Amino acid sequence: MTDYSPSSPPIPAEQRVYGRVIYGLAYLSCLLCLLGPALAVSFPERNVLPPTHMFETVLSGGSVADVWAKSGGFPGAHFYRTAGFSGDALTQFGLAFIGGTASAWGLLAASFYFVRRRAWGYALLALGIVGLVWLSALP
Amino acid sequence: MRLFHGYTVAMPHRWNRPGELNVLVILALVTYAGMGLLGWAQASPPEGTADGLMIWAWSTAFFLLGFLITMTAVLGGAAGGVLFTPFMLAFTPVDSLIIRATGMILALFAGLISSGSLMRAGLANLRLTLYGAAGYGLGALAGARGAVWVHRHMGATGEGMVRLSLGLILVYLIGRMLLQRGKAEWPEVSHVDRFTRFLALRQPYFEPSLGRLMDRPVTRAGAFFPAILVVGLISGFFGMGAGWAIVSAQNFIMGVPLKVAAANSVSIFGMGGSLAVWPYVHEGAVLPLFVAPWLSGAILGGLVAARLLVRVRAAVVRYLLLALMVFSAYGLLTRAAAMFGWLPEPSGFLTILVLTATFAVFFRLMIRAHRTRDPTAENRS
Repeated sequence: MTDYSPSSPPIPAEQRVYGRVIYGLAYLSCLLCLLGPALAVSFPERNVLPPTHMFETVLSGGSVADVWAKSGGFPGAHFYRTAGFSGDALTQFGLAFIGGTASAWGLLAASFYFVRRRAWGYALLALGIVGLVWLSALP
Repeated sequence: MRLFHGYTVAMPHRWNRPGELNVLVILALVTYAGMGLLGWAQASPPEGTADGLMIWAWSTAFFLLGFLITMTAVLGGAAGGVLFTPFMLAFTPVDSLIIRATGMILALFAGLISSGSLMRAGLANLRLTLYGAAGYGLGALAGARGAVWVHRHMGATGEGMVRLSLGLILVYLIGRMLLQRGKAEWPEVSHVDRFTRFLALRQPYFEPSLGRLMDRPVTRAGAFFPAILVVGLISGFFGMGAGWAIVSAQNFIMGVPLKVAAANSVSIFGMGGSLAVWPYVHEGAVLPLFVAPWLSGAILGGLVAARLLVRVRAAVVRYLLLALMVFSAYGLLTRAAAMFGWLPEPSGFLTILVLTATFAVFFRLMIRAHRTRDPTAENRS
């Protein structure tokens, strides 16, 4: 026996919450990735890595080290913490921090609903993945 | 509408408000138009550096390519990286680690944005995604670390070996999908093993193309885990989404219906890719201003594709996926052969010819599949 109509299947709460969180964060990240380059071109001197140099080096086949050489080497994955309000730092914040950890936030929220449902195994699995993502993100 | 604890009625037509997509499109148009005007107005830069107009032109081209690539890839149950990486490696002088890092970011975000919609629509299955992402994520993290290590320490031989084996696996999967035409879309599961039953992975979903609720069992979850671990390893190493392999693994091993497998596969990227992307970020290979236009285009493409995916016929998705697999196999095998010195590097013209021919054949099959009534619809009516 089903409690739902044939055209409206049940969607678990944890699934809806996970979907909402990661969609929202990915959307926010996309907005930052649209604003970041515009800011970078508007104020090129403020960037950690000058966009003109970056494009020139990348499109001529330069290595990662060549690209970052102009800035005195790669300043680390989370350089947005010290770079201030610059275009590339804002984009990196959107890409790395928001985008790279979006699923962890979504799973954290979903694990709450797994616990409420007493699906302990899935709650643990979700929290395990959250821990792994955050460990990977550490410098 | 709340039915019982933890469940609500699905609202398939409301998972993406049109306003969100419109805001992104308008903002993208305004941003890129503004960047173009700025680049045009700026004074000539010092010698040896790119000017603003050139940066705008490249950014806009990357944005449009990202949109097209991701829309096509997500419809085929893959992420943008599976097309982006071979394309960039074949046609541009950009460093391979930067390409793979960007490909991994594209795969991750296409997965995130698409799975957000697919989760809320009920087409993707969170439990199956979690289980798959655990294996995929660990494999992809190891693969990405391996890619950075290989880039630092080894020559082309190691990459050639992996590409060759990946190409051969693809050819095998293409053959299996072509030979099992009737079974691949709606695989028959006669027996559900104890471990799969314990995981409680079964979840009904609404199939709009048939206009009915589908509730199909899945099986062999134990065998699926090592398979997706290996897929993750390869995916993380190459920085490309492995939708073709994840969809196939779910479809062949677990008996997941093809469209659900496609929805799950992008969701698995969204979750597992969060692990794989970090070795590239820590290496400095993710260049924010290079990735951003690709990513903005890819997210818009992923949104459009996610809307199309729940409405499009399963057979159409299958042919698109096959076309992607054939082209990827060509890219991998020719590249591996060139690395070992067996064949010369394929020219850009030949690659475009193969791409056009592949998609022409499969596009014709897609149109035929779209016009033909789905036999499963007749069986269930």
